[in-house]
Amino acid sequence: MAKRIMVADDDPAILDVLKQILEGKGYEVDTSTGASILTELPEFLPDLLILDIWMSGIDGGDVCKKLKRQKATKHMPVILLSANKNVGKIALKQGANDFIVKPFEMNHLLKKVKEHVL
Amino acid sequence: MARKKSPKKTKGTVRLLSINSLEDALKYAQDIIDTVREPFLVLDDKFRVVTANPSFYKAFEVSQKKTEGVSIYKLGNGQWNIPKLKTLLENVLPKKREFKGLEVEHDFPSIGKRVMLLNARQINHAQLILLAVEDVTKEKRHEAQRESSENRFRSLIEKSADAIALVNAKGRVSYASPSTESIIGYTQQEFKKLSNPFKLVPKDERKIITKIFEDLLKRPGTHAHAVYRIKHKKGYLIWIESIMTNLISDPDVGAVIINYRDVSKRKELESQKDDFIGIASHELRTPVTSLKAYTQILQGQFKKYGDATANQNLVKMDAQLNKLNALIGNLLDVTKIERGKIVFNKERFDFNDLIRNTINETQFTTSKHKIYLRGVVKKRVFGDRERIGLVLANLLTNAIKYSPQAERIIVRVSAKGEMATVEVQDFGIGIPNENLIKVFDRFFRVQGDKADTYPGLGLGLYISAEIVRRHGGKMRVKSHLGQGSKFRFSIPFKGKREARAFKPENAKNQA
Repeated sequence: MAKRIMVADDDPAILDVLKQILEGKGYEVDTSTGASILTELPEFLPDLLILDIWMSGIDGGDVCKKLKRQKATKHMPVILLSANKNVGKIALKQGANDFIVKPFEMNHLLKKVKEHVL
Repeated sequence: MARKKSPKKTKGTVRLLSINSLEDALKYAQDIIDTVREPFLVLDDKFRVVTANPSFYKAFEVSQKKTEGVSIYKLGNGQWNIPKLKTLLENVLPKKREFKGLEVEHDFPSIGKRVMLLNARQINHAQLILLAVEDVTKEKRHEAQRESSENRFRSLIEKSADAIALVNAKGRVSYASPSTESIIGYTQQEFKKLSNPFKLVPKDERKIITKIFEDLLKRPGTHAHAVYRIKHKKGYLIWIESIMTNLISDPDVGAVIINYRDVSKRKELESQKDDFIGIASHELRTPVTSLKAYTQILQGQFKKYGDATANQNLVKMDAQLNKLNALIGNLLDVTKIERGKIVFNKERFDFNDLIRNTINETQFTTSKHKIYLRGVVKKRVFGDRERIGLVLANLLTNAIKYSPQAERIIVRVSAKGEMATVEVQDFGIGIPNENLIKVFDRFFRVQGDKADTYPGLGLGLYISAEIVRRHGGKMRVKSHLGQGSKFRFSIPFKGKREARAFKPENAKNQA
C-alpha cells in the first residue's frame, strides 16, 4: 500500500509542485491550504505531514506544537517547511521531526521524506 | 629707598645708588615714574598733580603743560571730576592710607569710555599721593565678549532639543540640560538626584550599557555610540540614542558628556521597514521555490525522453534561480546586519563539501569561465553553513562579473592553524589601489576603465565581510589593475556559539 503524505501550504503552486514531485515517487498525496489543517486531518492519519510555517491565518509552528502535544497525533512525523532561515530553530522548539528550507533541492526533499516515512 | 654705603665695601658687590641730596631723590623718583608703563600720577595734599608719567599723557591724551600743578578735578576741562574717584581720594584714602584695584568706569569726552583700575597710596611724610591708573578697557571688553560667547554656548546647550548630561566615573550626574524633562520626564533636579542614570535602562540592556560606559572610561578622549531603551518617568519605555564622550581628564569638563535624543519614532519606522522586508522576502521566495521545483520536475521529465540539451538548459535555469534566491537573501541580510539583528544558524559541517557544492552551482551560471578548485580542507567547521556558502558564491559571482575577458577562476582552500582559508582569484579588470579599502563598503561598486558600470546591488562584499567577521574570521583583498584580484577569507574551525542576549543596536566604541 502506498505511503500517504499530507502537505499544508497556503501557496497553490507550492502544493502543486510538491504533489507532482511526491506522486512521481509513488506517494499518495493530500493537500491543504493550511487555515483549517487541524480539522482536515483524516482519522486514519497520514504517514507524514509536511507543514509550511508562515501561512495566511495560521502559524504552522503552532499547529506542529499542538499535534505533538496530542496523544492521537504525537507519533505522526512532521516536517516544517519555510523560507525563514530560522526554520531549524523553530522546528526544534515546536517538536517537529525535521525541517526543509525554501527554496529546496528536489533530491534533498525526497531524501528527507524517505527518512521519515516508515 | 636708598641706603648709604661706604664705597670701600662695594668692591666685588653690586654698587648701590648713592643719594646725597633731595634733588637727587626727586630726580630718582621722577626716573622711576617715567619708566613705569602704567599711567601714573603724583598728587599733593590738595589733589593737585605734582607730576605724571609719559604713559599717563599718552593714555589719556593730555599734555604735561596743562597737567602739572592743576587739580585732578580740573584736568582736561574737568574730565577727571569723577564722583567715585573723589570719594576714594577724599574719604577712603585718609582713613586707610591706601586702596588697591578699585574699578572705576568713566566716559571721557576726549577719549571715550574707559574702565580703570585705581591703586593709590598716601605718603604721609611727603604729603603726597601716588595714584596708578591702569587702563583695563580692552581686557574688560574681552571679558565681556567672552562672557557673551559663554552665554551663547550655554543657551545653545540649554535650548538644544537634544539633552546633555555630565556624568562622573561613578555614574553620578553633575549636570543635566533642560531637555532632560521633555525627553525622559524627569526635571533637571530629579535627574541629578538619581544615583545612577543607567538604572533607568531595563536590566538586560543595562549590563551592556554599563559595560560600554566602563570601556569608555578606559579610553580618555574617545566616543561611544549606543541605542538602547530607557524608562520614562511615566513608566513606559522609549528608545534613546546616545553619544558618550570621555572628557574626564579634560580640566575644563572633568566628566563624561552624554548627548542623547529620543529615537522612538525612528525605531518604530525601522521596525515597520524590517517587517516589510521580511514579508517581501518571504513573498519573493515563495514563487522562487515553486519555479525551482517545476524546473527540477521538468529536468526529470526531459531526462526520461533523452533530451540532453533541454536538460542542460534546465540545469542553467536552476542555477539562475539559486542566484536570484541569493540576491533575495542578501537584501534581507543587509537590513539585519545594519540593525545588528542578524542571527547565525551555526552547526558543524563538512567544509570541503560546501566549497565543492557552491562551485558546482556557480559553474552553471557561466559558460565562459571554468572554476578550478585547488587544495582540500578535511576538518569540519562550526558555523552558518548556508551563509558561508553565500560568501563564496558572492566572491565567485564577482570574479565572473569582473573578468569578462578571462576564462578561468581559481579557488584555493587550505587549513592554516585554527582557520580554514579560501582564496578566489580572477584574471579580470582589477581594482585601483585607492578603491581597495572601499570594496567592503555598502553599495560600493567597481567601475571599469571606460566607466562601464557592472550590474549589481553593491551588497555582496559588504555582507560577505560581515558574515566572515561575525564568525571570527578575516577577509582580505589584493588586486592589480588590469591583471585581476584575489579575495581571501578565513573561518575558524571552532567557531563560537552566538550570544543569545539582547544586543543594543550599533553598540560599539569608536575612537
